Amino acid sequence: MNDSEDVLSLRVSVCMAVMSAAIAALTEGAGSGLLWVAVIIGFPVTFWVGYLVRKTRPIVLRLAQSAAAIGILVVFVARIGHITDLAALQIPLAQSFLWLLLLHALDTPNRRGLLVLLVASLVLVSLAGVLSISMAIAPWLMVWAFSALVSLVLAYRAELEELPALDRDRAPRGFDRSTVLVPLEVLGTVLAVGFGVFMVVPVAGANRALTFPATLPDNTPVRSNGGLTNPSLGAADPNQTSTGSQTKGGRASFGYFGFSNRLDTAVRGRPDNTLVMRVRASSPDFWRAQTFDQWDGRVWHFSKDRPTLISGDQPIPVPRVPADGPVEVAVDTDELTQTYYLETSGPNSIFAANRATKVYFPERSIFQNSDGTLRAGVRLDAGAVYTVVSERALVTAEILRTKTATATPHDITQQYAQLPVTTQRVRDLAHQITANAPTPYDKVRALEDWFGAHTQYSLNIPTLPKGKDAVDQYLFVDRRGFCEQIGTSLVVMLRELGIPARLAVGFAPGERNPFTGLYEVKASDAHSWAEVYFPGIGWQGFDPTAHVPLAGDSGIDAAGAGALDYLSARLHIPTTALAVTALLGVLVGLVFAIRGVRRRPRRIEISRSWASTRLAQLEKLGEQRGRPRAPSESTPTFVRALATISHGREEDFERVGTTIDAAMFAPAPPDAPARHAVDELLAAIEAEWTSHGHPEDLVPSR
Amino acid sequence: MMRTDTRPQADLSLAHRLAGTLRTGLADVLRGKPEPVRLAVIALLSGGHLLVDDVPGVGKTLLAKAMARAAGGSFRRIQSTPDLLPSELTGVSVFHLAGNEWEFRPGPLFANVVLVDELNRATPRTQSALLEAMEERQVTVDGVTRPLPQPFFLVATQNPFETAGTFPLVEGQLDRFTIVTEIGPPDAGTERELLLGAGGESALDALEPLTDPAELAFAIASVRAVFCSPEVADYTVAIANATRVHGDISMGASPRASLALLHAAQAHAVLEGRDYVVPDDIARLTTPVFAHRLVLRDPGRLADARALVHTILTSVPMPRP
Repeated sequence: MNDSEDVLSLRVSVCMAVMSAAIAALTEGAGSGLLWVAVIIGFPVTFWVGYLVRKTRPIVLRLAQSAAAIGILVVFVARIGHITDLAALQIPLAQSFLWLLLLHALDTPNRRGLLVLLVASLVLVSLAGVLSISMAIAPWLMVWAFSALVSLVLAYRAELEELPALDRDRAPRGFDRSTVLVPLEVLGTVLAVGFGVFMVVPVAGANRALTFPATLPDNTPVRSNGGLTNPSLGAADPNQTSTGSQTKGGRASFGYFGFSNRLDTAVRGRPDNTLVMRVRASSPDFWRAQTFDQWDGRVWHFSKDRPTLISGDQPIPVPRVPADGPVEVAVDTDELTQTYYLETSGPNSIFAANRATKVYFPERSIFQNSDGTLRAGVRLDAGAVYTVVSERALVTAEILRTKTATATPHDITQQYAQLPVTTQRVRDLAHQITANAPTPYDKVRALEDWFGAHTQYSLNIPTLPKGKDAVDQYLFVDRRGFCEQIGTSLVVMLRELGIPARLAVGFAPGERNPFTGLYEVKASDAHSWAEVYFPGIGWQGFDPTAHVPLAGDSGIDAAGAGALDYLSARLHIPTTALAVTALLGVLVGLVFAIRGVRRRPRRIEISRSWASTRLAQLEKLGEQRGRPRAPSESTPTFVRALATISHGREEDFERVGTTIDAAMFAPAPPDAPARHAVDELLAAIEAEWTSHGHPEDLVPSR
Repeated sequence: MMRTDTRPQADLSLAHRLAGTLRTGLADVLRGKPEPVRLAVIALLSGGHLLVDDVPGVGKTLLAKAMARAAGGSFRRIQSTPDLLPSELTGVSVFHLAGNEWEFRPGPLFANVVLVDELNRATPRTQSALLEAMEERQVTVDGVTRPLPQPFFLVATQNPFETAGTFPLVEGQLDRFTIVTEIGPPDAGTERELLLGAGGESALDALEPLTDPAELAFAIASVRAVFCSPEVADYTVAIANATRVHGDISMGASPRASLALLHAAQAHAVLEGRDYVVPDDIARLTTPVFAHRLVLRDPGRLADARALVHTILTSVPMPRP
């Protein structure tokens, strides 16, 4: 087929679809710099050139295209030479694909070439969806969906017009109001139905990918001994040699002073709402950075900061450390896969839900501290991505109450249950609150409940007077505090009761974005909480302020759970109004869907329209010959009358008449070849009549 | 396990073949008259009844007998006279002394093909006895309803010009004939051949049954499966409506007439080898199906009604896309 595609609006809409798909992919990091230029400027240019040369298709251009294609292939092979990881292939592959699309746009003489580009744009959109961790592509997705639908409508119309039979005066041509309305209807229906489904389908369970993402924006090694670094601390960064005043805080990146070798509860950080990282995980947990074991009444320290190098192929296996204690109680476990996308440069801590077993990290080695927490040997700047797989014990309150082992290893008691530094009235209070609690778990709960009932959660608390005990000050003087005070008090009082406990710092799960499925962790989600050791099971986080359920107690929500609340908070529209709007949308969508389904099948429509055109053509012929069709005359009868004028071709006329009749009245109308055959017959008859006519005057027979 | 009936519900190619065979067979007997033959086949396949209306001697009875022979199955012939009683058609119950019980003796209506010759010579009372048989294919005698054999096809003849000792057919009677056809005189060539022994009685004697009741019943059922598009149905309704509002007609076509027209059109489509009805099927059969049912303001002959239907047809526009 050599027909060239002349409909300009179709080209424009396909170009829009391809460009929006490409931009969506680039927004999600499929490429940068040159590719952006290529997409923004290149596609309009190549589409335009493709339009100009659609008929000529100069050989020079095609040669150049082939050469460029080979070039792209060579570059691709050269780039993937050192890549061993399958996942790392997708970006070079996508980039080569984009360049090839750019070339292909030059050579789109017909509709098929354009539709190939439309399918290719679907590939790009899928890629963008895979790479996506935010909602940044949503607008581009909408633009793509709309222009792709417009393209389909226009392509369908062009196809209708191409059928030689169709009535050129009546068939809708090119671009008009319905070109926009039909795609909008479809888009609205798809969105409405999709949103409804989204609200009810359950969240996908465990990740089933073969490999998980892990990238670093740049590889700047820091200290090789695995020491902690936190750029937010400025001069107080433990990596820096200077020892400046630590009260001089700032609003630097991570904004929290906890990620350090010491945690001074007298210092008040001012974490803001900066997005720190996004976490892809199937259920919420504490994203833990490090723990502290030594308390002096004001400052937490970690006594055994001895990072050891662990390395291996991806994923890097993370061993159990002695501080984790032995596993003696059979508790179901699950694998929680967490992928961390850092949005702000932060400490070199590798966040992980307790207890990490595997890490997908862009380096071959990481460090593991004696408490089991992980650190990177490189800077973790914005853009860094790594994945941690944690094997969580699915504990429930029941298990923690009754199923614990009896013996706590001596080392753990030594390190985590030594008598705390605190005041006598704190000690007495601890015993008093837990007097009626039989098990360690109940004691923890009793203390948490007491905090909840007798103290207030507040970020604005007075600074700690010099020489005062932080716990005493919180429980007896201020009676106000935030996570540090509460967590510290819990640890101190548990230790007083002989239960091993420690302070963990990291981030609360953050808010789950129902549309991306990722937890959005802000600087203000920085958190500290108590970890309590349960013999035979291990460390279990407790926190009365952030609601994180025990791993075994959390249920499965719908994928879209909270979607309305999420939107409502961002659009400043009440949830109920949104729900009503969504419901209306679904209803309207359904109405359109049902209307669409009830429409006549396409083949019938085409054949009716064809019959109408052909009958009109015959009527015109008849009028020219002075034998118009009487309204009560059927097509075959009329055609037979024309055959009499024509003196010959009776069989051809008969066939024309019966085929048109069949197209109008048969349950299975004539197919395209049968229609085309009649078209050719009619064309031949018409040509014959115009060259030498028989001007006889006949009147309608009936 | 339940056995499912694997017999097809409809077989249009079988019906088409049978229609062709019947037409050829009948045309062999009634030479030079393709149109009456075609209408006879259509009446048979549409599951209706046929009235042949013409002067004596043109072959009315010949056509009726040929149809009976060709259709196979049982055949009875009734010669109508003014003293013909209804019970002589339907049958009577007689008392058996030996068995001490009533026994029903079926009348001549209990046959697959029934020929009623010179129908208008029977009294209206006797004519009415045919109504139930024709429409419902059953007969009620002494309060007992008995079904007639399947298929049941009634072909009647009448002479419209004979007036002495005749009773014009009642409207209800006429409405039950799907098609009324005339035969008309043969052309000279055919008549000459007839004189020389071609066709006619000798051909009738040579005619073998072309089908059997079971096959015929299946073909009739198949014909009803022919597709009728909404446009064609609309066209049919438009024609029927036009007869109802026409100034010269006091009683137009009934819904039964429209249905009969559609069934006849379906049979016509099968005869032409189509599995769908086109407006031409309707148009071609409107006159033989409708004309005899119309009651004109100005009572006239059937030919007047035919002319009227013809005019009406030119006033109803054909469906167009």
